[in-house]
Order: sequence, then structure tokens, then C-alpha cells
Amino acid sequence: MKMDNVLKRTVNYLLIILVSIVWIFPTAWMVSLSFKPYEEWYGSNFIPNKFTLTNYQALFYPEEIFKTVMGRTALVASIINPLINSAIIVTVATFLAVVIGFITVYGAIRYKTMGVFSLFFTLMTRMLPPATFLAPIMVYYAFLHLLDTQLGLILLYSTVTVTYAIWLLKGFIEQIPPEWEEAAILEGASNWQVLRRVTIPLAKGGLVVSFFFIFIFNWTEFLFALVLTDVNAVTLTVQVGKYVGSIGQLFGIQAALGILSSIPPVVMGYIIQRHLATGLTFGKVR
Amino acid sequence: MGKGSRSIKLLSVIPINLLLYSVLIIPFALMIYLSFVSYNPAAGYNWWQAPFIGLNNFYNALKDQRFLEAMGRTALFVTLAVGLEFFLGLVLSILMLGEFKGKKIFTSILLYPLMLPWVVVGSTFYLIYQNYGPINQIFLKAVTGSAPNTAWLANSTSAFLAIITADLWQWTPFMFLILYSGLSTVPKRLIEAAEVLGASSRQIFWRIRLPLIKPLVYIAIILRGLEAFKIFDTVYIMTGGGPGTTTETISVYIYKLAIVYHDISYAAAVSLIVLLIVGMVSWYAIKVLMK
Amino acid sequence: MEKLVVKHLTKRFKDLVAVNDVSFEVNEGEIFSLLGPSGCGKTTTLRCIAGLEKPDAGEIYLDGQIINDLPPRKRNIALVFQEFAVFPHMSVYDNLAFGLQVRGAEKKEIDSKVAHVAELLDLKGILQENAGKLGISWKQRIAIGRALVIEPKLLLLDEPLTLVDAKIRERMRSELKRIQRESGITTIYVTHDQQEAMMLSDRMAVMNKGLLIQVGAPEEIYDNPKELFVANFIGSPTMNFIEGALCTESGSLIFKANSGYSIILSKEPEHFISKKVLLGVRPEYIKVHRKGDNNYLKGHVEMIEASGYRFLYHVKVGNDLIVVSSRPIEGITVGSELWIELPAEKICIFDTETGKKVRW
Repeated sequence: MKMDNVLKRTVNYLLIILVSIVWIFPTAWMVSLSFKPYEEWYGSNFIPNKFTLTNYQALFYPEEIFKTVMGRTALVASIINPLINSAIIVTVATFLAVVIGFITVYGAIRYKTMGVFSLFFTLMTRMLPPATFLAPIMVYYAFLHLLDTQLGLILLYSTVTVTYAIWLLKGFIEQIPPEWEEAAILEGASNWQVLRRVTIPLAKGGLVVSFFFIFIFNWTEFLFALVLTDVNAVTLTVQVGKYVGSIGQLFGIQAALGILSSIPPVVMGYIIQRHLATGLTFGKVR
Repeated sequence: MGKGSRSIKLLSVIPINLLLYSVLIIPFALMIYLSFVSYNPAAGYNWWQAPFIGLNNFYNALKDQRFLEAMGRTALFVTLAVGLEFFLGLVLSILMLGEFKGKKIFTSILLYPLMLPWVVVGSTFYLIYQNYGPINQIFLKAVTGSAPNTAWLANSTSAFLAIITADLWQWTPFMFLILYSGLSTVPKRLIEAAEVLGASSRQIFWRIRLPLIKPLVYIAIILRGLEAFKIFDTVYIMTGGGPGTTTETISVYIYKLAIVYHDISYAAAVSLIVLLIVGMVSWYAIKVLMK
Repeated sequence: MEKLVVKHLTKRFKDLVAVNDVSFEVNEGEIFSLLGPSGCGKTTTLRCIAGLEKPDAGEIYLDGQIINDLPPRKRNIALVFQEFAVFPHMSVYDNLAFGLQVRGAEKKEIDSKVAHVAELLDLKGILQENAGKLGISWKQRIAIGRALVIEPKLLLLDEPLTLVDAKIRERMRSELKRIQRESGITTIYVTHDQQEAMMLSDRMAVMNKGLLIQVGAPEEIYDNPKELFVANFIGSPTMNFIEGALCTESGSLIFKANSGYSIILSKEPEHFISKKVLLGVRPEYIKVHRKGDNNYLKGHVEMIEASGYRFLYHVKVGNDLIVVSSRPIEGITVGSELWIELPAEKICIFDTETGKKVRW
């Protein structure tokens, strides 16, 4: 009996350690890349021979680095502006997506405002390969003067991610017994109060999860940001793409930016970790 | 119905339709228009002057070998990638259900890839698979003693697999998170009831936990599958669709059509066909799986 | 022959001693109740027996074998939870069959055993229905049926009627007793409802704050409570308690109430210890008389609670309010004077300090 247990646990541990090593490897490689000078980017050494901070510096003080080290390259601005842009655009867009998604699917389930097909219809926003949509939306936005604006990207992001909120929240809301809401109504609550006091607290986990996923999704989105922004509303991910110089892709700088840009999602994940595990609750006992 | 139900109903219908239609409808209509004409930006005339050619683009697409291969390839990719991601995510969730120290660290290591811009993931894996990169120089050297000279990204099969590993690294955490959350929140009473009735942990997992999270699993697979089908960034950066067109997924092909060959009408037609096919398959999937 | 023996069972949760050195035995085929207020440790005791909690001290023997180290699934003990915990994603049949299925039993055997239990619990018609969608009374039966199908050595029920509607509760109580009698399965029944325990059990144990206070047949506990707590907890309406002291007078043992009156307890007392005591007597044992006599107490009616065939007369004697339960008495109204007799053999004396019963 006991031997069995010990064996199981060691196997478990070994597996976990194995998976950890494999999984952390690309991350570690990225970190190492970000500290390597450009001549080492293609190298196979894990530890940088010449540890350098120029990649990170290039993100904030591009002119000096580029002129002296990279030769003639496309001049890339500091990442402060893109950082702010990303922060604003993604947060607002995610918030919008979750709120609209929630109320939409709530209405669909409790008030039958939409059928499954209509909800499916929103899912179709995720089925179209982006490439050919780029040009039309560019033209459209140009016409609306929304090019290179935060608002433009916010609208687009929320439109294409609202379906995530809908489908992720659908399961949660369906799990809430309608009798609980009906009881509140019998006690005199208006429908809005029911929403506020009964439904939302119960669906809190789902809201948190949806927000997290959609946030990450928008935060790392590339193509549309690339096409719809240029200087003013440029986001962090687009910035990464701009690091293409005369020597090809500036991997080290991209890696540095990747690591920096991963910080907000990581912080957010840490904050909501408590809610995440209890988030996707399914199945009440009674 | 109680008070306020009308405003809820309105709010549940108007904003979303407003959003969808104002942002997407016109560009989408434009795309449809483009697919029915013959427009090439390099041709000299404006897009509203382009000649109408009816369903020609669509007919051509159905005869286009490259298009069909790209579709098949992408479907294969999705099946392998999402299937493996689900399997791995499941194994990882099972591992996490047991008690052990360092759970938090392990979770952070696992989930980190989700937080990175996809472009960077592509770049990093591109470098990793280089001839002088770590796969050859570090891992295989340690295992076999000498560093092989394989250019992983230059061989179609290995390049395809390389792309799959990049996708796995990035998206298994997504599956894992969803599966683990679902599995760990099965009510304790149900587990205890099963225990007392004589079930072993394995039986509890397969008969109680897993069946209870089925709806969740289906949504996760469908959502992930849809995204996987559109994969672009990683492929483009790692192989550009190559060698030749052997790792060209459908998004990459369409991108090339539109941006490189400037054949935007044809690209639009192809996109619409993809939309139709993906739409039908997923509609069927939802109907069947999610009664 | 004892089916279950619990010896010195102790379970702690951090600082709280939930179960404190509890020992008792359960006989084969009987219904044994664990009765007590919330938090007294009865559910924890049950869970230790089932194997869901690991005791800090003590042994549990089932059929003579010690089972402390056996995991729940190997104990062949069934537990029905308060919340039923029916598997919501399975049909009624699959719920019932679960225990046998996980043991790898043959389909034929499963079918027949499930059919038998379904018949017993009137579940035959809904076997194919999804269990998650059914109402409470169905779920309760499914939970019980699930337990019976595996033919366990012991059936544990954790407050099974608490969540059931009051109206249905009575009916279900008789059902449970009938099922137990028909199947003959040794049952341990946890509840905080003393009426329930009194009506269902063959024997019962009264617990409070982790301690086992008294074990015995319901009548015994009812008429012979060892401690104040038991006397007070059991019985509806509650036992009357009068403050006073014991003393002797001309060789007889007298109870002198603080209010002033006295009752002769015994002309030939066996023991005597002078001390402060509480006199306890149940409302239904008190006799009402129109005329006074030796040892009768005079009082007047302050309040009458009328309920069908049984009236509760609140009689003020001295400073004490004594509740008398009896058939409606003609001519007695609020304010009426009457005489009540406290039969000596129905009187319990409790030491005010220790709460324990005093023999006399």
C-alpha cells in the first residue's frame, strides 16, 4: 500500500519537473536573447557571452542605440507611447466586450432575446481569416477618420472579442438556477436589482475569467493593430514588428519587448488568481 | 416579468448589434463586392471601377490546387495541434489535482506563454530551431554526443512539426487552465459520495469529474479550434509558409494573395469560402455537442 | 453481536476538539441515532466511521475488524449525505448502479439488485430519467437507494430529513423505518431533531460539544436522563425545572423549592447529600387534581396553550411556572386554581453544580 503511494508520488514529481524544464525552456531562451548582443542572436549558447542591456535600452532610447550599433535602420520610437496606447485600448476594449457580452447572453438565456443561431452568428467574427479583411477595414476606417485612433482600435477589438465573452459566460449563467432569480423578483426586486444582487455575484468567476482571456487576447493581437495604427495609436505588439533593421529581424530587441509587454498580463493574472480557480464552476450539488 | 425587463431586453440586443453592424458590416460588404469583381491595386484603376466578373473568383478557387492543399494542411494542423493541446492540458490538469509543493510556480511557468505577443513567440522558436540554435547544439548534442546539422525549418515535415510545437507551447496553457478550473471545482460532496461508494481516484476522474465538465470542454475545443485555423503570425515568422508552400496554412496563403500578389479580389473570394466552410463545420459541431 | 464498536474516538480540527473520547457500540440490525445540537460532533463522528476523516485517536471496529486504516472505498459502509449529492449528470439507474459498477459487478447482477432497490423505494418508473433534474424527495430516495444497492455492512445517514419539507418529513420518516426494517441493515442516523431520534431509533447516543453524554434506548433516555443537558434537550415540551435544595425532615427526604413549597421525595431515602439541586419533571407526567392532598402543590393557571387533544397549562406555583400537559380539563380557565401532583417516581433530581443526576 505505502510503496504504491511513494512510487506514484515520485513519478508525479518527475513528470512535473520534466514538464517544467521543457516548458520553461523557450521562455528562458527568450530571456537570454534579450540580454544578448546582436552578434549572438543566432548563437547556440544559453548564457550570453557578452551580457548586455542594449536591447532593453533600445526600447526606451532608440536613437542612440540604433545609430551606433545597428547601422542604418528604420527609426523606431520609444515604447512609452505604445505602452500607454496598449494599456488604454486593451483595457477599454476588454471591458466593453465583457459588459456587452454579458448583457447580451444574459438576455438571450433569461429573456430569450436571441436564439442559438444569433449567438453563433457572433462566433462567426472569429472564423474569417484576417488577411482579406484588412484592406476593406482600412478603407472604411479611413473614411470614418478612425485610422490611427485609439477609438478605432477599441471598437474593433471589442467587436471581435465580444463573442468570447458570450460563449464563455453562457455556461456560467446557465448554471445559475432560475428559481433564485425568481425568488428575488417575488420579494419585490426589479429585474436590474436581480441582475446586480443575484446573477452577477454568482457569475463573478465567469466574468473574471472572460476578462482575463479577452484581455490577453487583445493585448497580444498583431495584425489589425498593425494595419489600423501608425504613430498615434500604435500598440505594443505592433512595436515589436517594427524592429526590423538592415540586419533582418532584431530578435534581441523583440525578445526584450516581449518580456516587458508580458508584465501587465502576468500582474493581472496574479491578482485574479484567487478567482480563476473558482471561476469556471460547473455543477451545483442540488 | 418584473420591472426593468424591457430595458434589459433592449440592452441585450441593441449594443451588440450596433457594434457588429457599424464596425463590421460595411467592410464585410466591401469584401463581398471585391470577391465578385476583378481588382488588382497594381492595375491602375480604382476599386469602384473594377469590372464585374461574377462567380469567377469562386470557381477558380475551387480549382486552385494551392488553395485546396492549404485547406487540408490547415485542417491537419488544427486536428493535431488542438488534439494534442487538449490531451496535454488534460494530463497536466490531472497532475495538478494531486497535492505537491511548488504548485504556484509550476502554474506560472505553464501559463507564461499566453502572455507573450505571438510575434515574439514566433521569433523565439524560429531561433531555437535554427541550425546553430539550441535544439541542435544543446539538446541533441547532450543526447547523441554530436550536434546534427539538421535545418529543422528547411524540411517540410519537421517544419510543420516545429510550428505545431510552437503552437502547443503557447496554447496548451489555455486548455489546461480551462480544464483544471473545471475539474477542481466539481463539488466535494460528489467526490466524497463516489469515494464512499467504492470508486478509486481513477474511476472518480473518468466517471465524475470529466463528464461533469463536458460542456466546458466542448466550448474550449471549439474556440481554440477556430483560432488555430486562422494561425498566421507564428507560421509566417518561422517559415513564411515554406519551404516552398509546404507549411502554408490558409491564412498565410490568403495573406500572400492579398499583400504580396496584390490579387485582392481572389483573396476575398477565398476568404469567403473559408468562412463558409468553417462556419458550417462549427455550426454542426455546436449543434451536436452542445445540446 | 456488535456490528460497530467505536473506542475513544477523538478528532481535532486545529484548536477545536470536535469529537472527544467518544465510545459506543451499535448492534446488528438496529437503528442507532447520534443526537445532539449543531456542532456537537455527531457528523464528524459519522465521517470518521465512513473514513472521510482521519481520527486523531481511538479505534473503530466493524464486525470485529479494526478499520482505522482502510480508505472509505474499502470499508463497505454507505453514507447518505445531508445534501444527497446525487450525481447530476447520470440517470437514476446509473446513480443506483454506480457502487456496483465501480466494483466491476456483472450487468445481470447489477440489473437485478438495482431493480430490487428501485422497487423498495418506488423508483421504478423514473430509472431512465436524469437524476439532476428531479425534485428533493426523489433525490433523497436515489441517495438512499444508491447506498442500499451495494448491500453495505453499515448504513450511515447524515441528517437526511433536514432539507425536506416539513409536511413530507413525517411520511419520509416512516418510510425510512420501513425500509430499514425490510432490509435489516444496521443503520446509524445523525440528527439534531430529538423527536425524530426518539421515534426512529432502537438506541441512541446524545452528544454535546464533542462529548458523548448518554447512550441507551429512547425510553430509557427519556425517563432516566443522566445529565441536565440530556433532560433538557430531549422531550417536547421541555421538562420542567424547579430550583431548590435537598434536605431531611423526620427521616424523609424533602425537596425544598426556592419558592418555598416542599415535596416529599421518599420516606426511606437510600442516600442523602444536602445540596442545591434542580428538580425535573416532564409536563405529561404531572397529574392535575381539583382538591388538595398530601404532597400536592397549589397553583393557579396563568396561560393555556390549546392544541387539539393536548393542552399545555402554565401553572404558577409559588414563584415557579410549571407546564402541565394534559387532556383538556373541563372548567379550567386562565386564573383557575388547581392542585398538581408530581409523582415521585417520575421526578429527576439534578445537582445544580455538576448537572449530573442525583440518586435518592
